[in-house]
Amino acid sequence: MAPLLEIKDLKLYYPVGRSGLLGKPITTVKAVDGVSFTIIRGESMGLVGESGSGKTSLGRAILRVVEPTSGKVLLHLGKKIIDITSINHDNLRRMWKHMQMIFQDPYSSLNPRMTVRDIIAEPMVANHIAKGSDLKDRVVDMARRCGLDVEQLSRYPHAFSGGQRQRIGIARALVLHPDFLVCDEPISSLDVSIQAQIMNLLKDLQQQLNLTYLFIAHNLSVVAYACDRVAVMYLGQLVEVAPTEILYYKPKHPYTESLMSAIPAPDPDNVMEPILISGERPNPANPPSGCRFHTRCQYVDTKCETQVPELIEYDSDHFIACHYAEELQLKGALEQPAAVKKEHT
Amino acid sequence: MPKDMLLEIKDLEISLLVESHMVNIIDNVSFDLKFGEVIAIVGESGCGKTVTSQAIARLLPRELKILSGKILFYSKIDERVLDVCKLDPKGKTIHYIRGDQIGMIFQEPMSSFSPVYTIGNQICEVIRLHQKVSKKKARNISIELLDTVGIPNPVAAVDQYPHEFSGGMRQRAMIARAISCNPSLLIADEPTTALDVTIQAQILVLLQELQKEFGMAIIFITHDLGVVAQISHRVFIMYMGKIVEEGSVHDIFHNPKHPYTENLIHAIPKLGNLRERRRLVPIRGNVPSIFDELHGCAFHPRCKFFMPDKCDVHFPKCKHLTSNHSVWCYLYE
Repeated sequence: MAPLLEIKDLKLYYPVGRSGLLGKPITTVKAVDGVSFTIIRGESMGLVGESGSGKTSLGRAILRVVEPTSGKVLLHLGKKIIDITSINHDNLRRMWKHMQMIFQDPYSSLNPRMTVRDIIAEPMVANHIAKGSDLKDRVVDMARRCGLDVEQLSRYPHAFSGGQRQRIGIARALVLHPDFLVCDEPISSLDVSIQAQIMNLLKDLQQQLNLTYLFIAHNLSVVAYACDRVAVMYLGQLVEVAPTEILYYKPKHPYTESLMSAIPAPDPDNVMEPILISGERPNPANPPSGCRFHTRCQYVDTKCETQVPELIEYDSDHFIACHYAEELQLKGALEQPAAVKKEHT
Repeated sequence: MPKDMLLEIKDLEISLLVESHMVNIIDNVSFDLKFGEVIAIVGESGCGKTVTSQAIARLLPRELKILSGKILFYSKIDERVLDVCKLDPKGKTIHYIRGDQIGMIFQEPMSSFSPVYTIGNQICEVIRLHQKVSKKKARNISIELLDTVGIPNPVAAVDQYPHEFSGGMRQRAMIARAISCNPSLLIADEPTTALDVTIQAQILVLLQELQKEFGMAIIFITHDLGVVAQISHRVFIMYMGKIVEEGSVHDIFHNPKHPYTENLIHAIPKLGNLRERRRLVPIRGNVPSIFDELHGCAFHPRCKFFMPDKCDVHFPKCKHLTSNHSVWCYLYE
C-alpha cells in the first residue's frame, strides 16, 4: 500500500471584497481549510460533498494549478518524495507530466481552433517529449486506447459529440502517461447512455496504465461504482474518509448519513427516506465555530459548538471528524447489496 | 369522457422549420394524464421531452410548429374541454390556463426569475393576474406560499431578490410561484438536475407532499432514473421524438420490454451491486442528432436485436402487453 500522494494540512483561501479600489481584501473564503489525507498508488479516491464545499478547489490545489495558501502535497515517485508546494515553476511544469486533470465540460475544455490531433499532441510538444513520427504514433496510440476513430483526428472538436469530446480530453490528459489524474465531474454533463461508456473507459485505462484517480463528483451512485475509497467534504474540510462500502453502508458522520439517505435509488420498491438537514449552508467566509456541521446536525450537543473535532482514524482506514463517532448509530445508504437482499426475501 | 381525465394528448406532431424544410421533432406522441397522477417523461437530450411539455403550455419557440394532433385539457373549474393546439398562443384563453391551471417549474431557477424584482413581487404578479385580490392580500398569500414550500422566515424572504437566495431556496420559490393559483397540473422540467442530492431530496419530498395535499397532477421531465423511480406512478420512455415504451413505474423498472429502456436501466450504476463491482453495460454508439435521417425505429443503429429490413423500414406498431404497459418494438409483434 504505497502512497502516491500525501496531502498535509492543505489550505486554500480566496480573498474576497476590497476596501476601496486598491485596498486590501476585506475577508477570505476558506475554500479548503486544513485537509490531510493520503492517496494510495493505483486506487480511485472519490471526493463528494455539496456544491461549494471545496471539492474542485481541493483538486486544483493538489495539482497546484491554483497556489495553495499553506500546507504540503508530497508526491512519491519511486524512492523520491517531491513536495509539490515548494518547488519552483520549472520543476512544477515537469511534475505536471505525472499529474493531469480532466474536466466536467467537454465543450469548453477543448480549443475549437485546434484539430484533435494537435490537441492530443500539445502536452508532448509543450514538454519537448516527442516530435516527428514518434509524436504521431503516440497520438494515434492514445486516441485508439480512448476509443477515438483514428481517421477523424484531423477534424475539429465541434464535429464531435459530448462523449467523444470527453474521450479527447482524456486522451490529452493521458498522453504523457501520468501517474495521477484528477477527474473533476467527468461524466455529469453527458447523456445517461454515454456516461457508462466513459466510466468503463476510465476503469479500463486505469488498469492498462496503472493510474491513480481522484474522482470528484456529486452523483453518489457514480462515485460508489468508480471508487475504492471515498472522502466526504463539508465547508472546506474532510468529515469522513473510508473504503466505499463502509462509507455507504456504515457511515459514522451525521453529514455522510444525510447524503447517503438522499440517494434516489432507481428502484420503485426502494422508497427513500431522506434525513433532511435543516437550514442553509453556512457562508464559507464565516464558517460556524466548533464542528462546522453543528448548525445543521440533528445530533448536535454543546461540545460541538465550541470544540473542533479532528479527523481521527477510528477503525482501520476509517477516518471521522465527529465528537460522537463512536456513540452514534447511523443509517447507511438505502439500497442493500443484491446478495443480502435475496436472503431477506 | 372519463371523469378523472385531466389531459389527453393525441397524435401530436411538432416540426422544426429549418431553411424552408421541416424536421420532425415530435412524432405521433399520445398519452393521457389523470387528476392527481404523477407521470415521468424520460429520455436523453434531444428526445423531445421538453418540447412536449412546452407544447402543453403553448410556450414553444417560434421555430417549432404544431403540425397536427390534439392536446385536450379538461378544465376543472368550468368543466370545459379545451384543445390547447387550437388556441392562439398569445390569446386570452391560454393566458387564463397557463399559470392558473398549469404551473411550470424549470431546471434553472436563476434564469426564470427576473433579477430586478423581489421574489414577493414576482409571486404577487401571478396571483393578481389570475385572482381578483388586493395587493396586500396577494402579499399575504405569497408569504403563506413561501412558508408552505419551507422557506425559513417567509416574512423577510418575500422582500428579498432572487440573487439573495441559494439554489435550493430559489427552486422552492419557483415552486411557490408555480402553485400560487393551485393549478391542477404542474409541469416540472428537470427541476432537480442542478441541485445537490440533499437539496434534491428535499425538493422531491416537497413535491410529493404538495401533490398529496392539493391533488395536483405532475408531469416530471427528467433523465435521472433514480428520481423517476422515487416519484412517478407511470413512466413514458422517449427516444428521438417518439414514445417507445410506457408503463407503470414497476413495469418499467422491473419488467422493461423495449431494448432502449432495458439498456438505460443497465447503464446506470446501482448501489446494490457495489460488492460485485459489475461493469456497467453501456449503450453502444451515440445519441443521434435530430437532423440524422433515421428510418423505422430510430434506435435501430444502437440496438442489439436489430432486424434488417424490418426495424430500419417502418416504425413498429404499438403492442399492448397489459392494460397499461405498451411497447413499440418488433420483438413483440
